[in-house]
Amino acid sequence: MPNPRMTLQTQLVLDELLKDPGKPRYGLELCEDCGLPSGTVYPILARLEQVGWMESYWESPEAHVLDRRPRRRYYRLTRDGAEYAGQALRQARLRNRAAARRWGVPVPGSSGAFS
Amino acid sequence: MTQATQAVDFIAADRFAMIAASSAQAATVAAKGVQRTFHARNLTGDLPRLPKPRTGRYVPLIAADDAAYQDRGWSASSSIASTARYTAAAADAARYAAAEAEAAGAMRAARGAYYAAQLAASWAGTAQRAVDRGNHAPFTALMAAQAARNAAQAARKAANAAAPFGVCATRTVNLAVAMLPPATRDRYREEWKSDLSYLEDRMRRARQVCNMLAAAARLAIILRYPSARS
Repeated sequence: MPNPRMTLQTQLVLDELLKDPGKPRYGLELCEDCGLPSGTVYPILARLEQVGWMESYWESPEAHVLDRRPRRRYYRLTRDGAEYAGQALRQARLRNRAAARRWGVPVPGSSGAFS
Repeated sequence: MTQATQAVDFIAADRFAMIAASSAQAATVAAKGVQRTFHARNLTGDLPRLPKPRTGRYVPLIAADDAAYQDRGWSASSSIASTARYTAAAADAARYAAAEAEAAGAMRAARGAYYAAQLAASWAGTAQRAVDRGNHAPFTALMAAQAARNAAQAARKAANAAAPFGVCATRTVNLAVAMLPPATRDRYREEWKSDLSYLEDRMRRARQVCNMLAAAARLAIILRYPSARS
């Protein structure tokens, strides 16, 4: 399975998704949770979907018809995707840490995509 | 839900929000009248004062609707009663606006309006009870007027959220979607319109539409040339 580019924004999105890999989320919810604009999040989701780390599906009609709202498209990490994403994120964190040490920049916090 | 049905619901919600706003304004004017009366009474030395028993409970220093004040044309209880009536009217209008907004699919904003209407109705009840007991209740009147204003604001928010997409938003989404490969257009059009419908604020919608344009420009490359940027 090919790896997507692990930009800082991709790391943030994956970090958020890996908090609860089985939970389906819709695009806007993910944007709010990550604190990133949809102009950034949707291309990342499309790239993750292309490499097979993520799957997307329309929500069932019962839910949105009952609530009288337009249907949402949900995104969820696949089983393999969650595994690969975890590994990629760990490697990216090591790289971030090494780069921070090399440049003499303090590593912010011990949690999150930057640590 | 068709666009026409949503438009009808929006118009009804908009009208109810307007009624709520004018009722809230009237409640505020009436509540201010209560405050003016209260200050005038306290400053007038020749007016009779009630005895102040040391029970530890709050006892109004001056009885409302005293004949002496009515001679001077003041009626605190009628101002409080007006505040209560207008607050109740604002609460009702906000509730109707919420119902229309809910019918139009703006569930979150409608819930907020329902809650604000409930609170306003509760304050209106408190003010009415104060009038029935003959209590002078300037603070209750103020709070009732504030609750009426909050209800009107929530009703306006609900009405705005119930608004169907404007021509500008629809065209911008269509423009963004036109950049994408034909096979994915329907999916993203529906997804982004759905996203827009969850935003209550007009400014947030405008920002979201701009973000969609940015997303479409990137997605157009990613979806056409899968290996280009992955």
